[in-house]
Amino acid sequence: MTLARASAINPLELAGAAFSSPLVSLVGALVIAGVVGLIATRTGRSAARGPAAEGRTLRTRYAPEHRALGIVALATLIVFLADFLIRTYVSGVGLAWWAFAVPLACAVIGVGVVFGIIATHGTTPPDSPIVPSARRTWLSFSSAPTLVVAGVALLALVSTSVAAGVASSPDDEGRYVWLTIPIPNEGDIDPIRVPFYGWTYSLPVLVCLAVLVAVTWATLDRNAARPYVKPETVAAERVARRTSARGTVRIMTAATLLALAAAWRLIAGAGSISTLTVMGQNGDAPYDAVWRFAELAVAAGWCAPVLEVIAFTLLLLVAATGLRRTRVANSSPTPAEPAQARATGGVR
Amino acid sequence: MTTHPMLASTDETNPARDIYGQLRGLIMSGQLGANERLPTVRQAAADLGVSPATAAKAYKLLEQDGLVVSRTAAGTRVAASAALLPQGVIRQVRALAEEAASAGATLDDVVDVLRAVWRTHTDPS
Repeated sequence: MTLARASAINPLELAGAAFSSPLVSLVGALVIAGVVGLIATRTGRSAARGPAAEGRTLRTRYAPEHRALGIVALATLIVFLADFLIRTYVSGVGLAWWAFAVPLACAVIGVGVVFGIIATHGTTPPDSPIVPSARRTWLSFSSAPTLVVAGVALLALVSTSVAAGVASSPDDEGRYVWLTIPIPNEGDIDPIRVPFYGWTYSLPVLVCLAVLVAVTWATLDRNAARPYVKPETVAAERVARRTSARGTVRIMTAATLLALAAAWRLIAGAGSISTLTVMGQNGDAPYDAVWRFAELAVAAGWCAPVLEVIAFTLLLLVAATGLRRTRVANSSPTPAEPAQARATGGVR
Repeated sequence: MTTHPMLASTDETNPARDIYGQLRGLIMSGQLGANERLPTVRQAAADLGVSPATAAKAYKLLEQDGLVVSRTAAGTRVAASAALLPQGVIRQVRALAEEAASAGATLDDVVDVLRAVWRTHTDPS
């Protein structure tokens, strides 16, 4: 490669091309999740706390839901990538009406399973009844920043879906999958029509999102409302419930971000179309036609890989936490555990 | 530091009175702040392993004593006149206790530091 050719490569274009596939985002997420995991291991945060140190009863109660959260996170990631790869490289189906709702539907089923585990296996009558001193709600075991991030992601997906749906146009079969960009001052020429995130795609997303929010809320509520086993285990149970709540919210956030990233990628395509050439007209010179939100669409396209990296990282962290706790939970209890349980018990 | 008292069997013939006594103790000792919401009747019943009717009866007794105020939409709250400290202070105390416990600090050390900080903040000089 000559120096002139090498200098002609635009680094931004190179980055854009590299991140045009979610697979590259996954590589970025693996690196970030690995670094976060390494830091957590070195600081000892992951091993020192949690139900594993509180004896067999708590492990039996909380390990299944933590394991389920890990599996759900992995399943959401795998299903999303498998759907993308099959549609793009194997079946050649391209975009189907359910394409954008896949991660959300997967999260709905997964979080629903976790809810079932919490409601049945994870809820048992207390061994020693404790007089409750504070009301526990769905907010009790979730941190404010986690919920704020989830809320922002939800808001962004809802507003994108509605705005894009309103801007979309129907094709010959009445499916709202086009964006129509008229040629200025040329009423006789057909407008440019580009594939777009219209109602056909956004309505299933909105329906799945509503169900996901309801299932997540029910899971957080159920997680908080169940009784504690006994006074000695309250501190450890609070840690375990925080893990469950954090995993649930992270899965919901990640699924929302994956759907949003996919939507923004398609919308970005409409922003890059700017000229139309009609042979035999206008002296074969191109007509300029720019969508008024083109710059916004292009910016969304640049943000889409970032959203994917965040979403994949969240899913990988939930999976790592769930599977690591499972491994600890399966190990035999150490003699030091009862003493540790007594030392931490009964304190909020 | 907030503890979790077990349901004592002081009055085995009347569990509602027993629950009433425990909650009354929490309010009078300052572990529940003014206007703080008590758990729902359902949650209290589940935590204590009793029927919702029993828990509701205990709440009714607290209300009759003027220790709590029940409103349809707002739930059951600790009466301002019955509590020792405002709700915000109690929340901070709970957060302090939780953080100190997770950091491995002892109660005596925390109390000593709290006294010192208190003196610093209330000393007019």
